Amino acid sequence: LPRFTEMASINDLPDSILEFILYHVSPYRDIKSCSLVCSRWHECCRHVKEKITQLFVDAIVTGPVCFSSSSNCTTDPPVLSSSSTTSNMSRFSHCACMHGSSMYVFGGCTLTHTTFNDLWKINLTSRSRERVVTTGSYPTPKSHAVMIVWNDSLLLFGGWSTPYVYPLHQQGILFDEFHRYDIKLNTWTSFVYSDGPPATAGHSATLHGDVVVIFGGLQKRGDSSGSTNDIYCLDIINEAWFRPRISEIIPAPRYGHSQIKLDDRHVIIISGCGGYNQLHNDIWLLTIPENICAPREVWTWKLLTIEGTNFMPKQVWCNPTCRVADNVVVLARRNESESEGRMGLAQMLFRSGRQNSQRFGVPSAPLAAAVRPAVEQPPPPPPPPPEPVRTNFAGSSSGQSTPSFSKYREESPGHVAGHHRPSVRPNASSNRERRLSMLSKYEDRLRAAMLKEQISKSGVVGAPRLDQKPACSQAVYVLQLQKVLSDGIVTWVPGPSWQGSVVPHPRLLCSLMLGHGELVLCGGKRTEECDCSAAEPWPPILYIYAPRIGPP
Amino acid sequence: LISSFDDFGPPVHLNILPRAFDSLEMSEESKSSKEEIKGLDDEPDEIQLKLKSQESETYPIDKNIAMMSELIKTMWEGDKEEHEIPLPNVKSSILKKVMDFMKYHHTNPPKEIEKPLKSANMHEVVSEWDANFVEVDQETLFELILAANYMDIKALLDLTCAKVASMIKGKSPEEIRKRFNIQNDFTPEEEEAVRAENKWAEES
Repeated sequence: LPRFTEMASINDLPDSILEFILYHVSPYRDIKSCSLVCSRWHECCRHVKEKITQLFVDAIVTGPVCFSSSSNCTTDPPVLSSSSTTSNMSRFSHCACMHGSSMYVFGGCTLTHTTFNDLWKINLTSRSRERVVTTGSYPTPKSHAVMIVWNDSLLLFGGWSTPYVYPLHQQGILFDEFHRYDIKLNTWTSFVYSDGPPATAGHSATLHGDVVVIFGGLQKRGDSSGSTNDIYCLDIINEAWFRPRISEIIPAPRYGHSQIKLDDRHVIIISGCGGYNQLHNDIWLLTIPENICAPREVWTWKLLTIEGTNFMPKQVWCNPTCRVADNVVVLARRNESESEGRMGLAQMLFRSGRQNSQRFGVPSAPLAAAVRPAVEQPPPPPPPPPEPVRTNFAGSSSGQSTPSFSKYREESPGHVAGHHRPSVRPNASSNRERRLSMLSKYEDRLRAAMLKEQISKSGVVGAPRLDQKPACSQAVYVLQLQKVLSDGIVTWVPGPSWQGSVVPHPRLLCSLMLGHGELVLCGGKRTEECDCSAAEPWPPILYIYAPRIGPP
Repeated sequence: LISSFDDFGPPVHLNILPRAFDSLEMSEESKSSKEEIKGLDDEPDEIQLKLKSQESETYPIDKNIAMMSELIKTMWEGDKEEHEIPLPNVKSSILKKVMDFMKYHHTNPPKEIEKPLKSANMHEVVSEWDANFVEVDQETLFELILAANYMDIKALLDLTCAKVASMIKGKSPEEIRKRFNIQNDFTPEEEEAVRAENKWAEES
């Protein structure tokens, strides 16, 4: 080590120590400021960022992870607009996206049927949140829309508004609005397109270069609505919508699914819901041709093989998902069967069902519905479900004539070479599975009860009480994507454990975004099974991060 | 010594006394077997070591307290006869402060400092004593960092680095440069490019 006789300055510190110092500063605004100090600091910041990213990716896969709400941090004086003290940020089914060191949250709704069109800006450095006072033409209050970042703008499309409670039986309103929020100018602008998609909610979108790819959702059709598997693309620069040519085998229509961008040419669609009692548990890969806007090129769908079904959540819809490096993180309620450490119900049924549905190229939807234990009521889909007898279910892409609904269907609904045949009696083919699953459940309960008796008889001290299930705990599920492009396989792996004994309550319909070395969870509503009291704090924002105890 | 950022594990000691007595070290470490090892290897607890600074001044310190420094620990275990530990890289004034730190924290291990720092005010991050300990001028602070690194005292390194980080937190690049007397060696184009960098890290 070179030694100076005069006193040391920061320039005398070796890079490794400077990096250790930078490891302490906020990974948002502060790291950015440090990057600008000089070239040496810029390089050190780069290493620190890589380190933090890698630490988080490792933690999300192997655990443990921790969570905290923003109130834990004492911060620089938070910037709060005066209106935020009175307005509440709690909501679900909102949109969220990341821009620099801020997260923007738009819209959403509450259990009391209030729908919002306000825009919140969460400063990730100071952890403060601010309700932005914007100008321009506001979008209508709505939830279940989709918002993505494009350069310094937020693009917002679609959505749904809760019906008023009275008069009864009022359908919700679906929107085909398109808005753009310019961050620098703090203005909303409304765009009207003649060739845009129909009003849609519960859809998903990702950005590929300068093209927005929108898939699925609950779409307006005449007087009614139905789930769709349409792809609509917006060429932002040319302000033109187009619909690509797609391959023959396509996924069943759905909403409430997740859309994950793998890279500019590949998108993954996870699960979702096709309608009342039609939960999908499949995962699809969409391959986009090199020239995304070329009209003749075909976009291909491929059903992916799912491995590690031991470790998958019961279903993935209305669950927050987020991509972290080569993994997709899904938050869902912890599976009960997991705590007993045996083959999950989901996995058993899934395996047996797949053989039946191979020839359709898609796992049967009612099978997926049966994956939930029969005793539980599936939660109603957020928009009112389409009534099965309503007509005009014309096949979306192939223009198939209206199927006859009086026919009893044994085989599963779903897509067969582009034909769309929704099920009349969604539970028709699931009866058998449901009976099987109920039998299994009884068996499990019997076994558990017998085991418990044995243990209490033998007087084993400290044996876990088998009737005490972690009914209300949020689990982190991890789906690995390394083999998607090479082998068409996605793999569920055991997710990370939480650090400490306190675990967060499970949430549905919240947003989950990747920040700098952390996941930011916002909003959401309690699941029905949640047994925590209403008085318990329900922080609007949770941060999930890797505990940084000691040096990395 | 911390040789690289990746290597915060067991310290790599360069150019220190050869570890020829590894096996001996292992058995020494287990106090339970102490009764078995009698005779010349007997270690009375109250041994005083003499730490010798850059200016060749020596300062006595309890051996057990000095063991907080991995460097001293290694040197001691290399040669138990030698009670004088030369630290040519550490000035007297700094050595005195380091010894104060070790004496205070010997029976009082500090809590892990949460990262990233919650606050730029050290009093909100560490104990009162620690916060006051690092209320020193910049040069002393950096000397302390270098000494902590050289002597391999993790707790001191943690504290001093956190202090520097607290001085960086919330400041603009220009303020940071002024505070620490750093030259901006970016060309205007380079600076603009860095400013426009949107990606956090390279997208995998």
